[in-house]
Amino acid sequence: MTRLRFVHAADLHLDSPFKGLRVAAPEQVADTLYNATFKAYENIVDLCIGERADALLVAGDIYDGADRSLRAQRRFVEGLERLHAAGIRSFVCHGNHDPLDGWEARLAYPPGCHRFGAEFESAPVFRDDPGRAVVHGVSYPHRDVTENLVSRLGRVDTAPFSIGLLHANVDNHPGHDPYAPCSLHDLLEADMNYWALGHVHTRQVLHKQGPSVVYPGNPQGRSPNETGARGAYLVNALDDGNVDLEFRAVDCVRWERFAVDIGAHETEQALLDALHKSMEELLDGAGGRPVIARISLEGRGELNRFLGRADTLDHLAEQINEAWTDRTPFAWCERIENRTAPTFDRGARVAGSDFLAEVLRTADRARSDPELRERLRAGMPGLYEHHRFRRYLSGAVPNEEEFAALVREAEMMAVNLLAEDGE
Amino acid sequence: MKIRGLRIDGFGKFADFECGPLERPVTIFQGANEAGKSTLLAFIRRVLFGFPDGRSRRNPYPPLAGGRHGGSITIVSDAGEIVTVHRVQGTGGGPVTLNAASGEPLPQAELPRLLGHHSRDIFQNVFAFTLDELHNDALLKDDRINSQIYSAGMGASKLPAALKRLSEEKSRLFLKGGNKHAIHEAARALTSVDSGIAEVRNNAQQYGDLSARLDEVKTELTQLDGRRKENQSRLDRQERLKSAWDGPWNELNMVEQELAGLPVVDDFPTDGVSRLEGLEERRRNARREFQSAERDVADFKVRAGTPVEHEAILDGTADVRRLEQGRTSFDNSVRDLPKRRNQVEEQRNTLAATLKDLGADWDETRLRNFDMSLAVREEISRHQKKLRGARESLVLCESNLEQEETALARSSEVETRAEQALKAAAKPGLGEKHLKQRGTLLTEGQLRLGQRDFALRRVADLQDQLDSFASTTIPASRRKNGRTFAVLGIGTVGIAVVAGGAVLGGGALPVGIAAGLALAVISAYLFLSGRSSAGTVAEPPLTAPVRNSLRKAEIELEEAESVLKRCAASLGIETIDEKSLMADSEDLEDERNKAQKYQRLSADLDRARAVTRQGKDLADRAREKVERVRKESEAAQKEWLEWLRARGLRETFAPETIAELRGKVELGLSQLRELKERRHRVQAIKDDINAYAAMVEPLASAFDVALDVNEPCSAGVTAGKLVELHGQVQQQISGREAAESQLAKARRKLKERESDLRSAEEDMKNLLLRGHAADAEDFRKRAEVHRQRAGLKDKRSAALERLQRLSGPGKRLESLMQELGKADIETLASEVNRLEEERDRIAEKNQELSTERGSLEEGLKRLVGEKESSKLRAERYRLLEQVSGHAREWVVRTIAENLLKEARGKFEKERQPDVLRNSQEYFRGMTGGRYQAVFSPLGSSEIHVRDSDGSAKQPDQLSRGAREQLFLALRFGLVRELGQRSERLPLIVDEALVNFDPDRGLKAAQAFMELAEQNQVLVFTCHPQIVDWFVKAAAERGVQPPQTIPID
Repeated sequence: MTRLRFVHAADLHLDSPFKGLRVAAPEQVADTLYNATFKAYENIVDLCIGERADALLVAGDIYDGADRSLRAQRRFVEGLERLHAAGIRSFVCHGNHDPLDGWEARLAYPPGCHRFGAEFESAPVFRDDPGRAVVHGVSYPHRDVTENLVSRLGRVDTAPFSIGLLHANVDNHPGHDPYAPCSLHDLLEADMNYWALGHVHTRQVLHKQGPSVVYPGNPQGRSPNETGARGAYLVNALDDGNVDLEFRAVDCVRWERFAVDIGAHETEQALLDALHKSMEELLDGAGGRPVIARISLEGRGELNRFLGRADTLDHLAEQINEAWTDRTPFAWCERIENRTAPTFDRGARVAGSDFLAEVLRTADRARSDPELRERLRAGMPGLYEHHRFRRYLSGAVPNEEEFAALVREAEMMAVNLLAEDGE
Repeated sequence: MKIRGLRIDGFGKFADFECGPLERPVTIFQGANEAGKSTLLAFIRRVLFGFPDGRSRRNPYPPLAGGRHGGSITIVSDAGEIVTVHRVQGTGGGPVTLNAASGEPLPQAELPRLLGHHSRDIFQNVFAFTLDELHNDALLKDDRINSQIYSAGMGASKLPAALKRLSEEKSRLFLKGGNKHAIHEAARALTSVDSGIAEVRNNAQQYGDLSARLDEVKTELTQLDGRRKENQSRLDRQERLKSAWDGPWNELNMVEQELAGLPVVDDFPTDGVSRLEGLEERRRNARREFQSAERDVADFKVRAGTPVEHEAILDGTADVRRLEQGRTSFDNSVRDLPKRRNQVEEQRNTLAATLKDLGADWDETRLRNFDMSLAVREEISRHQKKLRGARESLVLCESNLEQEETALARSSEVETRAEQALKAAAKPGLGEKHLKQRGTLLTEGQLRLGQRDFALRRVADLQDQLDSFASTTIPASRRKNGRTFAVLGIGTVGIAVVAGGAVLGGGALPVGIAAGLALAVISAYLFLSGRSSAGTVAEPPLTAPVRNSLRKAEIELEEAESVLKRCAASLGIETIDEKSLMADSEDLEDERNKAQKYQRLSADLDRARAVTRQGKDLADRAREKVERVRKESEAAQKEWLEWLRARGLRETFAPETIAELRGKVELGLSQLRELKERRHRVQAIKDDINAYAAMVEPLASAFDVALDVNEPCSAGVTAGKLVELHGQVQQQISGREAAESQLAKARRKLKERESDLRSAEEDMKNLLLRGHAADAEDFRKRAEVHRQRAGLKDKRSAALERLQRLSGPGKRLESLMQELGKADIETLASEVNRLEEERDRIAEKNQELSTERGSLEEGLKRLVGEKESSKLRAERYRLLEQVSGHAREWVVRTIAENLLKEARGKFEKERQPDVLRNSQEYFRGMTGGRYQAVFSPLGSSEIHVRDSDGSAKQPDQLSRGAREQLFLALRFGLVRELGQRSERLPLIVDEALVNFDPDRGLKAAQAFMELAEQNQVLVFTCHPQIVDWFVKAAAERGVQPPQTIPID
């Protein structure tokens, strides 16, 4: 029997911009993107109301305080007001992007909302029945919280159902900053039935039951790295202290990446047809949502030389977008990456006696010859240390691994430029 | 391949020049300026590779000293074959012949093999060159040469283009110091976006200020609302009191006073006065209607008893109705009659005119009896056809006759002209056979004349050759070598003579074959005699064959002369030559023309006479036919006239005009039928009128209505009066019957009205009793008092009701009335005014704060809703992505560029072509190590050298001497490289070392000596010092000294 029904969301990042786009999106796409985080949040509120949830739990990073977006905070409060009007309580903690000392628009939160402070607090879900379910939560007082907040939880009063609301990096999850680090063990030791976590943008159930430890992920993908369905968990807390978890997608535009092997296509038209087909499949699988796609062309084939020509990838993307961007829902290809290789047998050619073989051997030598690598880097500091551009490129200086990939790419470019001699 | 010897027949200043054998590795031709060193170099090039064609601007080196333009070179191939190449100037490079050492001719196709399949350009640029050619750039422009020098085939031909493209693309993305590249553009846009974001961030501060002020305003508005409500409550109370005082309270007091002053009339019929007035009205109406009913009874009684005149007419109602119905038809007949009479008269006149038109003897009877049957019409038609056919045949035959006569006159005229022309023409002098024989003789004469002229020229040529043999002295030292060339030359001439004969054809072919054979015999003789009697003195070997040819040519000449004489005799002329043949041919042509013209005129006259005879026959036949047809026409006309007479018709009628007569008769008959019909119609109208008058007459006399029996047309008026009288009588009878009926009804109504009157008076009496009134006047007075009291009571109730509303429900009315009882109006008005003023002040403040709140909320809404910052942040991320993307693209290109340059450096260092490496050795040797390397940057078409300091230079940066040494070294490298794969051709240089200093000259000579171990070297120079260098170099190298051949 259901004791409690709530929706667990996190990392709304309301009104924070989309990353990874290099070209300006068409108007329809741009409008959708501007409103995407808000729409996803509205979908969460609708989900609470539609499912007659008892509460909404938001585990931090609601907005990016550094952005000082009034719109984000206002829209967040409006959603909470809708919940309050529908008799649904809301519990909010703040994370590294919206710490308590960050800028805030001083908006009045509705009475049905409980915001956790810098110390662990406990708040009943049902005011008229305080012992039925309790939420224990804590917010970041400032951005760089590097201590284990779980250790500050201490003993909590036992309740039939206890929820921990926290923005934290469990077990040093890679790809995310190590804020409020803690271990899964810490969480399992605490006397909770459900840990409602935030911070990691890809949904994960770290521990299924007793207690459940869950990252719902962000409700709206905001970069080509945040692909696939995004949303929140609808949680039914049962009398036995366990939960039923149900993921609900709430994203309003979906990011997808797909790769096409050029080896299967002999002509440019055949490749284009394949790309169109893939775009159609993406749209079909997005549940009526618009899709933003990044395409990666891979493999070896005759088309490698065609793809190596200036502006070819842009023209290809334009042709795809002409067919898909004006539709409803739209599909927009924001970039096509060329990871293809020429058809020639590198192993055989590298053993040759011509100039192309020398180029290939030089590229190979670069792996083991640091002096050669330095010579290949000649000129690069002129860009990365340029007084005007270094602030924009400080994080873009390639490390050794990236440099090796760049050498491979440069080798392919050189081979294509010497194509007629090389074939 | 090596050159063993030269023999120049004629070339520039050289004629009959011979040198050789050249047996040493190096041969130096030494001679002063203009001794002919360059001429010899050109001779070798041209004999081996061909003469330039006539359009070439090159020096043709004509045989200034005589001799045939050309000569021969004897070569020894690398395989040891000895071949003599002979070439003379001519088209396609000039004819060339090859002979083995045995004298056996070799096919021409062997020559390219012997020359290593090198082209003329390669030979000239690499193997046999002058000082000028040493350092011109033709060497490097030749594809076959530069492919040996540069890295072609090494997969680097696109390297420069690749590096250029990478450089261009890099500049587009990022260029240090530039401000047009993509990264700069994106960074500039980023700066602008950052500035926009900074501006938008101020919105946050503004939002905080506005929020605080909004909170204050909201608090003030809440407080103000409390004051407003309190004020309104008090104001409402005071206004209620004041309203009550002004309205219901005062009214209530006044009503009570008035009620007290009126008598009490409480029991009174409801609506008494109006009911009284109703009953009075009802009584008056009942009385008036009673009186009216009485008058109606009297009136109907009178009208029911009145008698009606001519009442009997109603018995003839059916007759009157018939008169009425027939009236319209009668009136139409009376109106129509005069018109119909006029129509009869008009038709009678029309018929009379038609009869008059037909003829005086025509009347209605003849008209009716005229035969218009189908048989008669067919007869007329038959006559008409017959007459027309006869006429048309006659016209046709006459026209035909006229045409035949005209044609006859024309052919007679032609015949006359032909006779005249034949008489005027001259008769031919010669018959056809004679003309043909003469023509054959003339053709034979022309042919033989040509043969004689050819034989004459041959005799003269051969005589000239014999003369020249007699006067030529051949130096003994040249005979041995010259014999071979003579054999070949005469053999070649022999072939040419045969070919010439074949081309000329006819008689020239046997002559050509004979001459050719003779020359072949001579060459064979020369060859054999050369082998068998080398070194002996003899008559020039060509004399005997030429003499034989001369004898044969003279015999042919005599034969031709003999035939010509026979022809002249047959033609009757003394001698045959071009002129006499021409004159005789013209005469023969004139005779042929005369004969042809006479024959043509004679044939014309015969044809004209035959045509005239035929014309006369045709004209006679046409004339006979005209006569026959004319008789047939006259018979037809006669037959027609008899037909007319038989029917009493005028003879002037033709079948066509009879149809017109028939038409008029049909018209007359139609008019006659129409007249008869109109007469019948007039009579029928008259009958109708008389019948109607007869119907009127009995009624008119019975009821005294006037009618003129002699004028039936006036019966209509009488009938009208009778119908009118009948109507009047009928109306009077109806009126009387209605009055009788209404009299009964009036009597019943009188009784009803009498009852109504009594009922009304009874009701009136009862009403007065209920109002306690003596009469109507008294009733009205009591009713007025009762009305006033009721009105005052209503006012009192209304006042109390309004007071109740003002006070509210329950006991509050009493409280209100007590309060009113204590209050006064002035105090109330003053309090209301004070509270109203306070209310206005509160409203004004409220308005002010509400406006501010609206403005604040609007401002906050705008700040919250602004999308600018979202867009700017999105744009910032996009631009950052763009910058890093551009940077990445730039880096990839930079690495690619560095990769290519790195590979190029290694490739250039380790894998220069063999030619360059060979050249490098020579160049290093020639310059004593001053220059260490010769190389070509990868993918380029340039030669660079690197000196001992390591600095690279291009050829144009070198001194002239060093540049010439470089190009000499390059040629050495090429010569060695080419020699590894094909025939090793001799290296021939013309003054190539003149700009070398003694040291480098000696070193160059040493290089030549080294090269000469593989390739023969021929050096042309005028400088003794250069000869010394070679001698010294040979000594140092311990090889044979060079062979020196002086040239005068």
